[in-house]
Amino acid sequence: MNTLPTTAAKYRNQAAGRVLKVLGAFLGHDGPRGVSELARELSFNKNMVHRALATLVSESFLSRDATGELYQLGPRFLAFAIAEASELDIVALARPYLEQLHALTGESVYLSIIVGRNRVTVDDIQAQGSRVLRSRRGDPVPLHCTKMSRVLLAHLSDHDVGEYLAAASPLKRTLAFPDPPSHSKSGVLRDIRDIRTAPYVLWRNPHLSSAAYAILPVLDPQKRPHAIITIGGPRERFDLPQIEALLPRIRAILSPLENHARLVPAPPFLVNA
Amino acid sequence: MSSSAKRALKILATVGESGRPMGVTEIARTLHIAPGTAFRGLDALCRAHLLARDPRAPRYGVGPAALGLRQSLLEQFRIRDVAMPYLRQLASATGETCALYVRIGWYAACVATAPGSAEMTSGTILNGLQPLSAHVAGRAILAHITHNQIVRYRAWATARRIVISKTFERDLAAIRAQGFARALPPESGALAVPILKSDQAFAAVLSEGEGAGANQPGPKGQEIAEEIAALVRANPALAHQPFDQFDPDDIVLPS
Repeated sequence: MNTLPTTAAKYRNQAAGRVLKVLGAFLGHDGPRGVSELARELSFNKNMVHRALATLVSESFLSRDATGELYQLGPRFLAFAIAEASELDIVALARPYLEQLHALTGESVYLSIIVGRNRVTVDDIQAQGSRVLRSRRGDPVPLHCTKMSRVLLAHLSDHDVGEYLAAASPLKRTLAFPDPPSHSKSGVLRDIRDIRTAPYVLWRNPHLSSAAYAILPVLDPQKRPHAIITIGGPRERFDLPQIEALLPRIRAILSPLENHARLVPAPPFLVNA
Repeated sequence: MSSSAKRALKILATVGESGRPMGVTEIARTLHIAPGTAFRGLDALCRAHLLARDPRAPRYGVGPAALGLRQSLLEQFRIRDVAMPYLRQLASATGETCALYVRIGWYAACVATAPGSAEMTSGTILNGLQPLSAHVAGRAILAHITHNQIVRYRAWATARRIVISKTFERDLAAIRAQGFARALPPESGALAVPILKSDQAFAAVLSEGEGAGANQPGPKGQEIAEEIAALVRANPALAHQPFDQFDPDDIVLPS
């Protein structure tokens, strides 16, 4: 007596399963898809695929594309209330590494990214005592001004650097302290060439609390910059010899972050001319 | 197509739009179906990895396949990649969660968020897709479209029993005059600044938490919306999105 309903329920669930398989076939495909292509891939007949697509369109999980012939993902997925980002959130990802670097060195640690034509520090952990960075979290600093900015600029392509310099001309100078390389295009390009010769930059700032810094880029698969991480401290306790002694441990701490970042492309660099 | 397929899709939408894991009984009650029917739908959805059962409790949340499909769709909004660093800058400067909303038909859809350093977020951000008048970012966009379109939106909303306030036109005029929209009670504090493409808004930057005390958005919120707008003016393709070809009336989420 129970056989018939069970079979019917199983049949109905198979139908649901087919529709969900058609939806799943859009995973990993950037462009729109057609009935024949889906039927071939899923080994369903075209009629079945056509009916499944109609059901998915009626619930807005799929929609017709601009040609009207093919199907694309529908707006329904945008209604999903999902808190966690599944993409690379460099701020969240880097935070534990900033904490480890601060614990190792006891010095200030900064995470900075490119925003438009500027470097912006988006996260930091400040050490006790006087500040070793003039710009505050969220403040924009032009990409040609300061060594930290130029480390980001140096990891853009020559084409992007050229576009930036053309758009940023005449080059603004930082008023906070002397920064001779930022005064001319040739100075910026010379400094960029120097920066590119090493995987990180160790730098003494003679103008600000006699501070020293290690600046390490976090790069994507094309070696474009996601961000830089800067560790800075006063030279009486954090000068270049101390930084060099700590570098193997600093680089070991950052290695998993670098590996993760290498899997995801960095945001495009677009200059607003 | 079978009603079991439609039911499974309605279960997927219910769990996805709730923003939290749901149990069989709650899903069945929400959709007015028998628990056994809900269970069969859930089983099919879990097999397709569109939902996933919580290993610690008899609850179901969004699965990896649905997350992947949502991500694929989000990646088609080119404005998102460009806006993300600006949202991070705004979030780091204000400490508040910031988001980018785009207009899709008569809805506002959140396509990017940058979490702030504040521990709590009010939930204004995570509202998925909402009718333009029902969300602060949507109202910032609505105030900057043509009068003819506002009239059409009103007719569309009325047909769907979306409550339009008596002060609707006056509110939109105030948003235009101020250059930003403020969340209205009982919404949590938030401010939204429109991003204009030519003279019409296609998106808005929302900064959470600012609405409560501030009388106007910080200069950073407005600067950032203007910088994104300038990028779009220089690269119009950034504003393209996958539903441009539809008339707004044709984009309707089934209830």
